[in-house]
Amino acid sequence: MRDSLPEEFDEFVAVETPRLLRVAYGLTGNPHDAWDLVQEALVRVGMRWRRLADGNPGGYAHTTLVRLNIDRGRRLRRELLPGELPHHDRPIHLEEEIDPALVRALDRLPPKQRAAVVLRAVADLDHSAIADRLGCSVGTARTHLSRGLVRLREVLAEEVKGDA
Amino acid sequence: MPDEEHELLERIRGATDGITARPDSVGMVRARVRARRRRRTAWGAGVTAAIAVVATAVVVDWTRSDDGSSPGPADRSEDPPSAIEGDLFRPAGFFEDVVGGKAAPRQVTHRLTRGEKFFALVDWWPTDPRSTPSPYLVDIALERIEGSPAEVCADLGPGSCESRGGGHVAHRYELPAREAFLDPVHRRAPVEVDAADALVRGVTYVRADGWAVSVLVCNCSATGDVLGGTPPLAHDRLEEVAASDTWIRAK
Repeated sequence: MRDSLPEEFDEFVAVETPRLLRVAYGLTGNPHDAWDLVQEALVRVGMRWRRLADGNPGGYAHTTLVRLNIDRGRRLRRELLPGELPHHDRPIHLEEEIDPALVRALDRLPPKQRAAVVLRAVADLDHSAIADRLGCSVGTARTHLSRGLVRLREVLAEEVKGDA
Repeated sequence: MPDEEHELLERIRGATDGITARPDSVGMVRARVRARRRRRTAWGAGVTAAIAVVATAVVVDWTRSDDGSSPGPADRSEDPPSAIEGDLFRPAGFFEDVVGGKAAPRQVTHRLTRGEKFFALVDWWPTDPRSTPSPYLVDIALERIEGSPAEVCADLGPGSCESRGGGHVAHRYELPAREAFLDPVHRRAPVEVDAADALVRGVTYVRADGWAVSVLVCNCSATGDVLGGTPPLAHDRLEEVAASDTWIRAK
């Protein structure tokens, strides 16, 4: 059975993976979940490459990733994860110390607030683009971002107070 | 933007800079796409065909193969009943014979050149004397596969792989409809079936002779509507359909 994916898809994956991975890591705080999200988003682009290639496959991938993560958040409420997994079974590299306090603080945000904050910080998106990714109005996206930042500051302040 | 907010955003940006992908990630993605295609092409074809029917317009995109090539002279896609009720292909009738109820063919396409693919989409109304039957989408596909049944099954994603006699392997899965590549053509983002009880239940019977037969049933339409209650067919009945030698003789 021949593999019909063109080389352009490989180039797309090579270029987009680092960007998607950073967003996904910001959304999940876990390198394994980040890679799974990125891979799933890219696979969905690959499945539709013929139709997406001339459009905006990067935007499609980012939108898919964000929405998959929101769905994932819903599922995780019903699941118990069996602890940390080794890093070596994923094609990713993670620096030893990545601001664990920040990752913990992000974990305490509701999924859409977290997504809005991460998309602003990592992908440098404006309110309109964040709304597009989240599938909501611009006003709602603005609220998610604003509340997310306020909440994040509060949580980080609590951490600092707890450490002191 | 206040300095404090700017610093916070910078801190997040700095934290996420620490994660990078190795070069082999590209190969992994490509492999996953290939594996997914083996399983989900039936669903994709079914969804697209359903759109054609719902819109009562000629949507020819589904007649293209999933690898993007246009159909060759020997590829055929026909409206029922001519192809489905012909001598070789009668998936709707076969489904009805095995599980009961009433099955009405919608679309079928098969590639005769290489005998690699065969899809059928049918509406199925289960026999239920107590109430008005609800329709369900049924998607049946016959595809050529490469690799051992166990390897192929392991690539099929969520679900269980169960060994059967003769080296065959049955892959059983049940997914929320929105996770089952409900992804019609001409959409910029996947269609989300926003209903908790919409799901896809399916069996792919991976045969030792290099063929895989997939049968799935969904209580949803291609446009994201819920057609009826949770599909009443259990995996055992779906496997009865998928495991039949009829499909292999028919090719």
